[in-house]
Amino acid sequence: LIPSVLAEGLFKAGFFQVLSHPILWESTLAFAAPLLLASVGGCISERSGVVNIGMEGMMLISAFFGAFTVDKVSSLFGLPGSAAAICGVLGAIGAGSLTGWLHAWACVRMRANQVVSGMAINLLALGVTNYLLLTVFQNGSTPANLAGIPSSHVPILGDISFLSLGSIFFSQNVLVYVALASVLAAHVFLFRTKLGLRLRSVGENPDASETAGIDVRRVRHVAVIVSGALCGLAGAYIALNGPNGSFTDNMTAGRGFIALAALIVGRWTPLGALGACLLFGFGASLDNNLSGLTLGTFQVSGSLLDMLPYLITIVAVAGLIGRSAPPAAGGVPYDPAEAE
Amino acid sequence: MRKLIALGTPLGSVALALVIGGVVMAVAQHSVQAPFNGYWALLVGAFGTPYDVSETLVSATPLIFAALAVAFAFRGGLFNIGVEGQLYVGAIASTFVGYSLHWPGWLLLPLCCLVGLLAGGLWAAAPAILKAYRGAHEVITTMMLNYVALDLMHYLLDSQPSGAPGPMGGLMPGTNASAFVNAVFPVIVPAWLVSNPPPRLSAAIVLALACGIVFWFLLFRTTLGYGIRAAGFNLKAARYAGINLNRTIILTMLVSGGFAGLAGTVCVFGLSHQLVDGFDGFALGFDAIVVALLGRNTAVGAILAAILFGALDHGSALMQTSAGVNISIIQIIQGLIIFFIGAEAIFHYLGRSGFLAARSSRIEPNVPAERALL
Repeated sequence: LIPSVLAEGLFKAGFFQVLSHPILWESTLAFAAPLLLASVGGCISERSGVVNIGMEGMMLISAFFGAFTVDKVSSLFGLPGSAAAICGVLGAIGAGSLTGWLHAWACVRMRANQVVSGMAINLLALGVTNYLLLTVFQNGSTPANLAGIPSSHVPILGDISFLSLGSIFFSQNVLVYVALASVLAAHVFLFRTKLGLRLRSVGENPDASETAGIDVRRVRHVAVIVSGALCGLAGAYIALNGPNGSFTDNMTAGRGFIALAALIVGRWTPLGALGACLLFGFGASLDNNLSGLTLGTFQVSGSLLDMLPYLITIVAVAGLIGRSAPPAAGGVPYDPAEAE
Repeated sequence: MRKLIALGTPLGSVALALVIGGVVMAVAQHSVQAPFNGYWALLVGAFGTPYDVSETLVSATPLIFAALAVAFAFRGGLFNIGVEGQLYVGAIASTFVGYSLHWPGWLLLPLCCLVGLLAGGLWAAAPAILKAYRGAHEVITTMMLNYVALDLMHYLLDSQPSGAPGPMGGLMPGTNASAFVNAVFPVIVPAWLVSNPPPRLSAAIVLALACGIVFWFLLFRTTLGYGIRAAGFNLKAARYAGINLNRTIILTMLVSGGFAGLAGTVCVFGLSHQLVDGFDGFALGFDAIVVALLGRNTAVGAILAAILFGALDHGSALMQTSAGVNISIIQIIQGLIIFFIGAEAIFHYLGRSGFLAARSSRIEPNVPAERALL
């Protein structure tokens, strides 16, 4: 119902006028990038058999520490903007990895319920970042002149005006390219390397993997930490995207869950996640650019558009359009002592 | 004795979380005394006067319903992470009825509760049906439905970009307000006990306690409850025993969502007397998971844990004003509690490495959620 109403409204306003607007596509990529980084991370973790619903919290914590690091290195060491931003990204990756390690420790070593641990991380992240924001920064907000990661402009290619390809593809934030590269890297790693095969086998049948000489718990441990690091990059993007960075309370606003949704809709593959993230990014971009516009007689409702990623995910897991099945051993803690 | 041991993990988790919270306070204020001042203020803030006690219970009331919802599903081996969405839908539906009908209060209030219960139940039944017949994992579907419910609420209540009120937003201010005011839960604190500020504790807490009894009765005194617990313990064995699992899954989620829907109804009819967009800050249903696990998925446990959370919630205000401890420390403590409960083996680990003298023993699956879950 909703898509048909939407399509009708768009059509009345001039379907092609709307869709040919370069800003729509530019911001599709910009919205998709953090989702993509987190979903690729989630893919690595879940393929190894550890469910990661803590991505939201991992992103939030690293977004804070990204902004925090930028602030500290520029005020203490007087680093210039770009160097400070790089430190910020590293700080975010560090914070994300550390949070990932916490999840790994609970789920793999302590054999905690993975969903409960993920929930705990989300709750903790909210509390910790809010607490630190109010205690570390004056007035409870990050300084307005905090350095960020500016958009890059690829020479020559960025100037292509044909179909605005230059502005859509070649003048994005650096982390957008990192996100796209991470998809390729994860795809090659998971499906074209021996280590990737091992990681997937651990997620499908840990008993057999252990018998074959793979250290199941170690593989899972590392996989979850890597997923934390990627969520860290996503957090860095959220906090530091643009000429100025900032951090606000609950800044990720559910994007970790949309990344999880993309992972599921993409059937636990990096390329699938790319497709889903672009779709969800397009939805967010439509929302951002069209919400509030009256198209013909139809008014675009942002709230209804926002529902789409979640509804699509439900349809995907219900197998109404092809089945989306998780790794066989996902969510089950592995205990060598209980191996059958 | 077994029951005493079963208390080990929840109490240990709370204690450990409070200790870590105390360390944070001490470090933040550079004073060893800070945590003692802070926790004392928290205690006084939560239970210092009859008014504070009533406010603590006010905070606990919706949490009791929501925690019963989570616990009921856990008992059947289902993780209902979508209580938040179910309680939103319950609140929306019951408010709609409360505003639309001109019935006398004594008739309208029960009807509104029933509508909230049904709306929450049906919202939860949808993922249950998808799980039963399509194998869709309920953690994913219920989590996604949380956001759908949140967006639905934005859509219904927020002003449209043109400035026109949302479909239900226009209904709210006043049209049938008198009919609605008739249908609120009456305040049950006598005036001689608390007069100023006016007490807000309503009869909703009685309904909450009654739901605790219903929870226990359904689980332990009915055939359905037997099937639910059997499915929670061991899915395969339950199937061999001839229990209709699809039916059990759907009924479990219906009841669970019903409790959640009541939580939403109570937020509106027992306290705020109006439907505010995102009235609980999108938090109640998630806190309820902590409360349910802390209460070991029992009715009594859930009620006690909800009161503890209510105390943390209400007491933290005084902690912030008089002891200067930032209020978000409570969120950290709650997060730590669920983390330690989840990583139950941490207590064995601490016991082995000599951190704790008394070893807390692992409880055998009184709590099916631990193993049968995913």
